[in-house]
Amino acid sequence: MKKKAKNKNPRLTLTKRNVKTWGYAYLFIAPTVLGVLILNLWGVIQSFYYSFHEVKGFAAPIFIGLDNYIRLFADKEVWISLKNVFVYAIITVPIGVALSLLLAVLLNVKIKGKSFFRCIYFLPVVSAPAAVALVWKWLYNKDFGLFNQILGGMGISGPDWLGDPNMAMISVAIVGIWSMVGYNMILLLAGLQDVPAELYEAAEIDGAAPFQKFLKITVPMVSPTLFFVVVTSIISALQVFDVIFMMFKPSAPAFRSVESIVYLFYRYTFTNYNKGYGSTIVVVLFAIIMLLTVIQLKLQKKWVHYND
Amino acid sequence: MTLGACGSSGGDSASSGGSKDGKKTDLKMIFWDSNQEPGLKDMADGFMKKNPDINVTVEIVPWDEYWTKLQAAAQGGDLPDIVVMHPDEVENYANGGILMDLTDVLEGDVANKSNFPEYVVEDFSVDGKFYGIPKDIGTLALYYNKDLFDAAGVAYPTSDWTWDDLTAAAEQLTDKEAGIYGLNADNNGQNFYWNLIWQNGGDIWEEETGACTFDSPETVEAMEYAVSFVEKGYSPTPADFANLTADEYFESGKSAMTFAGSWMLTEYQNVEELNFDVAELPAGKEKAAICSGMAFSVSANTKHPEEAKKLVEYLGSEEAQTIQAESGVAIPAYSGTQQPWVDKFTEFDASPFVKVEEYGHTSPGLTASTTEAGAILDEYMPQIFSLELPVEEGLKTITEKINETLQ
Repeated sequence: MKKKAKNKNPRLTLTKRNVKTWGYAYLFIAPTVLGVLILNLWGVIQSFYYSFHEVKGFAAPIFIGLDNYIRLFADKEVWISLKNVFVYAIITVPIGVALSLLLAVLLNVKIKGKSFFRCIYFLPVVSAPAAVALVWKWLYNKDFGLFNQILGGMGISGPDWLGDPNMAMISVAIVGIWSMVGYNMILLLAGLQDVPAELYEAAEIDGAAPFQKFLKITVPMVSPTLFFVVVTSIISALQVFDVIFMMFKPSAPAFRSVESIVYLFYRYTFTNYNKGYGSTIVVVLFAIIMLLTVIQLKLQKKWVHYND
Repeated sequence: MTLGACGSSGGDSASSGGSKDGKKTDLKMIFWDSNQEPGLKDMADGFMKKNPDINVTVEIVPWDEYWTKLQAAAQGGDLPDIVVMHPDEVENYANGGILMDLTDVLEGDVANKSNFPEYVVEDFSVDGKFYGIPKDIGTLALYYNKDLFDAAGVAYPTSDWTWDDLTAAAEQLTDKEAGIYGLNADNNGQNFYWNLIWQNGGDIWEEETGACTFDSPETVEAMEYAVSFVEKGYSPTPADFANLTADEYFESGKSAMTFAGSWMLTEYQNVEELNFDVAELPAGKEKAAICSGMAFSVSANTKHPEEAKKLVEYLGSEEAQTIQAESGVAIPAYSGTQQPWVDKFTEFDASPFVKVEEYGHTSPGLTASTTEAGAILDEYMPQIFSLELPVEEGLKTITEKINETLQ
């Protein structure tokens, strides 16, 4: 006779003690949950609601059905901004993640002064984005900036990093990579430290070369962390705003080649006081990010290795 | 005991508006210009001396974030009690029921509207109600770098300069090798091309119909003149301005002349190496320059309406505006208090800014939220100033697009 598997998990029965434990658990997660509900979820719901309304200035929303969406699909600036953020993501995510992994591996070995280097690489993460962007703006200055001074010293006439529409996205991407590497590196470093040393020892006995060890042991073992890093990097790349906002004004000739979708949202919502259309733009961005993340969750089975 | 007292005083202070038990009433004021912070604080101190039961704090939020913050605060019902308003923005806030009607203050004795230039008062009236107590007037003039003029052997600008004089001087001052430009011809309405349009007898809006007139012959001619400085290489290009702002060009001695507002005096003065003076803007067919006022407005939802009104009334008084004049950062709006402002500056002549009153135009309200004109200008103006789009063709497109959004 098969024993019925209805044997409930004793931790899930409704005993007095369990209820008390749950109570504490909910209490502890309450600040985060409330924060997410009030600051994130409420905003999402409101954006959805506004996207079907005309909301201009401080006037009450007027229901207009799908008009905002119809306008959006015909709006070439939306498509340009979407193209811009995808270009940005395609440049920054692979290079940024690869660099983070490389640095994490290098800083995981026992060398002198590695805490110092960890600090250096993490520094961009704790610096205020606005200040970072202003400093980079000076570095990029075509006449007085450090980069073109150095290039000039080598006899190369440096590009117009900020003024040339073909160069501007690269300039933004460099800052983006520079600011993301530190954070991802710390995450990957934590993942690397969980890799058991026996695996490397065994591989060494079998005569594996360093690069083979990296490819066959390190990468699969940190793949869960790597997956997390890739997903979050793509999301934040699609939401890029602050660096561009600080470095380029809408009157700049290169603006069209760097304007991101969040910048466009910002301009409609806060500069033009058209919250309805602004909300529509972020709802579409929300849908795109969700779609990409779902695809990645499906694809992870192919390459992410969970060591349960 | 204390708890009960707290509750009841909270309850009836809404009706009486008075402060209880020596507890101070807090009023918050918000503004965008950090240069003006000391002056504004002096004005607040003057008020607090007379009203010891009220405490006024001043918060400064930079221009780029100011309107974002105000909008969010207004929507959250959390607007500071006193806000400094801009003529381009007041309509939005007034129509949204965000601002208090201040008509009775302007009809009172202390800050009566007859004491202020009419156009400033009118700039803050919506549907016959007044929402702002005039604070200051901002006007435009021609700043020039005396050292660069001396080095090039060019005579300093005078009040009877014409467009031809400006072009000729810009040509002589431009020194390609040294990287020095004659004039900042920036893609900036307020600080550049609006003034030229008015000087040529043109305008941006048709007064009666409200239609956009960027393609009128006078406006096109003025814009062609504006762009000519870039064309001839007497001005940095838009790509250059993406590297250094017009202010930075002038402050670093890389541009010899710039159109800039009276509110920039303090900032330029703080640049030690900069040896500058000020002249009136050159005249085209006529003299013209922007001359627009700012005002103090009160939040409709303030918890202390009586105290807030009392404060703006004081801020609009001769006494407070004289304090503002003496702080030197803004030309006060109250008539007769401008001279102390001019006298404050000894190293250069600030009077050209005050003379603008005779021929000033108020802000054309291009950023008015009800139209999306701003976004259209952002799209085409950079191309016009970058010489990628012929002036006439570009302005025609701009006009058509803007008029489409108006219908």
